[in-house]
Amino acid sequence: MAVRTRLLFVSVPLALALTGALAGCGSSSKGPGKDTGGGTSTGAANLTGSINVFAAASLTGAFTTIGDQFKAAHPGTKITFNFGASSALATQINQGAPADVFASAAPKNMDQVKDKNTPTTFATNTAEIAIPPSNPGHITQLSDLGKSGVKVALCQDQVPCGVVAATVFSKAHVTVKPVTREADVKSTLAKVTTGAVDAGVVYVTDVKAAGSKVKGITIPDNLNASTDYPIAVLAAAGFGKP
Amino acid sequence: MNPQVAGELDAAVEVERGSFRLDLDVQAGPGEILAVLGPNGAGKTTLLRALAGLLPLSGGYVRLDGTVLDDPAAGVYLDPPRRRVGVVFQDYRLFPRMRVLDNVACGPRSRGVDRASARHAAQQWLDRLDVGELARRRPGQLSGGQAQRVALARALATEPRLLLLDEPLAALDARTRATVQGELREHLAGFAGPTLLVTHDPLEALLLADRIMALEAGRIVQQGSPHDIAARPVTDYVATLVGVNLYAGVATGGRVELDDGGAIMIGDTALAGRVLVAVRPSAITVYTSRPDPGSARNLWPGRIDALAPLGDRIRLSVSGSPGALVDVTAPAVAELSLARGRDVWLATKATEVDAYPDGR
Amino acid sequence: MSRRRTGAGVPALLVPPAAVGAVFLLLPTIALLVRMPWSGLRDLYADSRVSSALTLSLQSATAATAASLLFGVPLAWMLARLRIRGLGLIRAAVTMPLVLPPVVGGVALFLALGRFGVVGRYLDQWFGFTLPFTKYGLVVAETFVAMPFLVITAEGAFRAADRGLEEAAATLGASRLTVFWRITLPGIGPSLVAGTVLCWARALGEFGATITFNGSLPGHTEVMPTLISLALETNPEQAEALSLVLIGIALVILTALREQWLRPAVSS
Repeated sequence: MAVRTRLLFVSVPLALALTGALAGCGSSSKGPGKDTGGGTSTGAANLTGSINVFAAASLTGAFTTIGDQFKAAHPGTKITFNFGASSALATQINQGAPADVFASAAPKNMDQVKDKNTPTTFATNTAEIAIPPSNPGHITQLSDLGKSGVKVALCQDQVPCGVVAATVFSKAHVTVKPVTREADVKSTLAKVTTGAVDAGVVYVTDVKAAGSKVKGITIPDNLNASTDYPIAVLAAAGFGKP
Repeated sequence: MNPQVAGELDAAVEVERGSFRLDLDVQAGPGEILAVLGPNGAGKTTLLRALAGLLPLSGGYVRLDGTVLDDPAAGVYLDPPRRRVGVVFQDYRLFPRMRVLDNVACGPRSRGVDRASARHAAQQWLDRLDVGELARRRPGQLSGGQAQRVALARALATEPRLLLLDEPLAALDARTRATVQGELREHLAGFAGPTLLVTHDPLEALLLADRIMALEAGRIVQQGSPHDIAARPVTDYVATLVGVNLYAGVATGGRVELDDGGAIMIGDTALAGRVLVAVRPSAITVYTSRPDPGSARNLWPGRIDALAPLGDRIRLSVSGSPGALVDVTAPAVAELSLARGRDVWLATKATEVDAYPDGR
Repeated sequence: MSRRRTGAGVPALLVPPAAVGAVFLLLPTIALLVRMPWSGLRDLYADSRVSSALTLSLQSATAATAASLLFGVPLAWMLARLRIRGLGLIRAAVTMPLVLPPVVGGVALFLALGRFGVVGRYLDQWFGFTLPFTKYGLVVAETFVAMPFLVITAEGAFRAADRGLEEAAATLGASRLTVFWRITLPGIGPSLVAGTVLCWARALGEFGATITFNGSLPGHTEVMPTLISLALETNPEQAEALSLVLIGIALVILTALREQWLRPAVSS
């Protein structure tokens, strides 16, 4: 059982890591959810056990799909996801939350976590402006976000998407006064989809995942910032436990 | 005494509450004290609440001094603040967080009088009822009798045209009751408008009222002066209710000299001064000839004036010193051949006689 | 020698559960006091983000409580005294915020008063004003979750009020408004105070509805609970210190008022 569990612990992050790269987070032509568990070379049929995966909010869509496909390919396995702001998750892990795997939206938050194996960067994400379909704020480009009267939602500045947004504004020399700073990127997106704000800065993956609920305004590559997603198996994963 | 507007009450009260129906006519003139007497559930409280405006009529009308207070058919209904009806509730309902003076000043204040004048008037009312020194106290610190007087002062301070009293003596213990009822009669005598008091205690009615209305299951069964009702009750209920012989006199060492002649021995030898003596008709024994001395300390002659059948009893109206109503069984009447004009002897034990101070 | 008590003593069987209950409720507070970084407190409170969140929390909770009193007490009176059909429905709607998770309450508020909400859209179209992301929106969200506490308490108190005194006042000539103001309200005083305190405490601690409906911007609309949850991620010690402020305020208010005002309710 211990061996099988160990195999599980190794294979899943690899599977996720590999497929996460393949998923390409919007900027590549390949969509998410491609070619899952087949990317590993372990004895797939023998995998059983359950693991807890803490992952950044921006990974919600991709990881849930990957998880479903993995479980279909390996019946008897159970993956429990906990999505949230990377900074919040890092703190929870340090406080002893029962996480086996951590996928963060920025290296900084991965660095916060103490007991882990070597992280692997498996994906990259860049920023995009999301606006409600009806575009109540008449936003056409990045600089419009700095206009007075425009309601902008941003992530809290210690959260990866907040860091990314700040970098973008700094590069573009735009001063943006948001009306709200949300706890994670999903909350920021929610403010846009409900029409509470005129625009929000989120990841390209979020815009894609939201489909027709938002419209995206691309940020020029020279102004854009990206964030790397490391993934690591945590030391507290408890090898040897049944 | 403040000049008070004389009032005339004219009402045909019809109230339906579930399966209970109250239907009666009531009139009362200025200065008249009308007692509505009946058992619990007869509808007395309903009548009082309807007159006060706390309960709307289902039919009929209430007129006070020609003003219509309630007339469902005409769509007229004045709520209590718009009626000039003073109410003394059985539980007094003094406002616990206000001092006595402010309680009494409530009425004038509600009518727009400024605080100083209202308090002045309130103090005068309290003085009139001999509770002036209680002005600064809180209701919780008052005895039953004091609270009753304060409640009365509070109602009178509104200068009402009609005064309603709900079982005014019921909340008092026997000793206080006797003292208070005398004073009450005096205070009520000073009120120019009609007073209507509801009670289940026939003694209260007899002592305080000029006229009694006997109420049973929502209907008046008899009305008249206390004496008339007692002498000629139309129903068993009224007879039992109102059947008591009441005498006034002066007591000394267990013997009471009655105002109307004769004397009665009572059990309480400590009682002295003016007293009221009550003897139930069923407590008097009739003899056709003078009996040998027995334990009954009261023995006196009389003549039968009338006999009235009351269900399983016969009530004799006997004249003498004093005259009395006496209840006997029908067989007894037959055996003794009791009839009008017959001379008889009446006897009653001193212990069967109730006596208490007369404060009137 | 057996311990015999005359009169009304406490059944011995009730003591252990009561003790467990007390310890359970006290323990988190005690733990906080024990683990506090007392030396760093002053610097902490000097931080302008902290002081603005604290001030805003206190101000908005008080404003929400005032609004709750203004609208909630008459509402409670109507629920207690009127007999019209459909009142039960109103009562259910009034108590709904009590059973809804706060975030759901925030969503509901947004649907009603947000920029494109049922009523909110007219505010925007006619006045160019939207509630979310403002201090007013904050008070609205807090009032929504806190007012039901006051309404429920006050309604119960109105139901139990002594109608006899109100009738007596009416016969003395007092108008309905006077009776309400001078007899009924003072009569429910202790219950009203208890309800107000509960309402204030609830408004102070609100988190879900405020961030969902009103967002959170440091220095403008960020309140203590939001700041604490964020601090937990970056600076757990700060979170502990901030938590202590809220607990301390709550304890002071609750202890001070309970004794003084609720004693009359027990003895009357």
